[in-house]
Amino acid sequence: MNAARGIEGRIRLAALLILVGLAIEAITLRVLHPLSFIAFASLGVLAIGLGIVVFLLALLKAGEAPTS
Amino acid sequence: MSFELIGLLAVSAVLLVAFAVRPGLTRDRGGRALAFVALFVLPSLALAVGFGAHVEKSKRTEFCLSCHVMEPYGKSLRIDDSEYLPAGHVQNNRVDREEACFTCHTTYALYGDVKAKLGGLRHLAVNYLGSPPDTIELYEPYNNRECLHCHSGARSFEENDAHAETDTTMAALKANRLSCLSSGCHDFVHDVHQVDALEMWNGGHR
Repeated sequence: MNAARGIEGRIRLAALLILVGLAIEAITLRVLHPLSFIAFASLGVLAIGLGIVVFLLALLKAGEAPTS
Repeated sequence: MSFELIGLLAVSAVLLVAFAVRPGLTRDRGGRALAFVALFVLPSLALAVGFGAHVEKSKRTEFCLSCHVMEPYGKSLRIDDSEYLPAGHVQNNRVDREEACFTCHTTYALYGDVKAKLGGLRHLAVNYLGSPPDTIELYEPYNNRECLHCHSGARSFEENDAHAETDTTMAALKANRLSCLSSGCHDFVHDVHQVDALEMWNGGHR
């Protein structure tokens, strides 16, 4: 039960991180300035990348967790 | 931003909100498959498409001129004298006005635009972390290749008296041994230090 909650917590965190990253991507694509690319390439890519990694880790944990 | 990208971001956002609110959706096989799409496939796609959109956006003239230091260069595109090479090209639609800077300032080589963008990152660092030089210079002498990309093969170029002056002139131009911007040829370029004193074209507005 706790393992499932932990995995769901990671899924939630991954979804939120990716949402933040996509919001940054959407905002930076609206702004025509070199710094908008820097914001996308640093903050946006970092948030989306982290979210994907957290999700993949959650998948690994789910694979390890005992099935009930 | 294209409709495809807006759609991709919107679909991703809806699915992500669903998984953020109800992470328990991943308990069954279908939910896990959907989670894989929402948390891995779509974000990866959005990153790739977003990066491509940013690169395309950075080709725009407006993008280049958004930095204060580039304003005189933008102004030089409106000099009311077609002897000035960039002004003559932009005002007569010889280059796409929306991508005027990028058209003449990239290598056109394989991945040349990526190399140009990496150079652009260096410009940003100098602009925000250092101090831009009074006179901005190219990293290396302007390469005729950028001109020949359009002019090579054109009758106006190939049969021009000055270009075909001697047997070696045309070969030297095409081999970049003789610059198109040589003194006495097409040597009026941006001239940013004089631009405020020059007359500007009003863009055809009366």
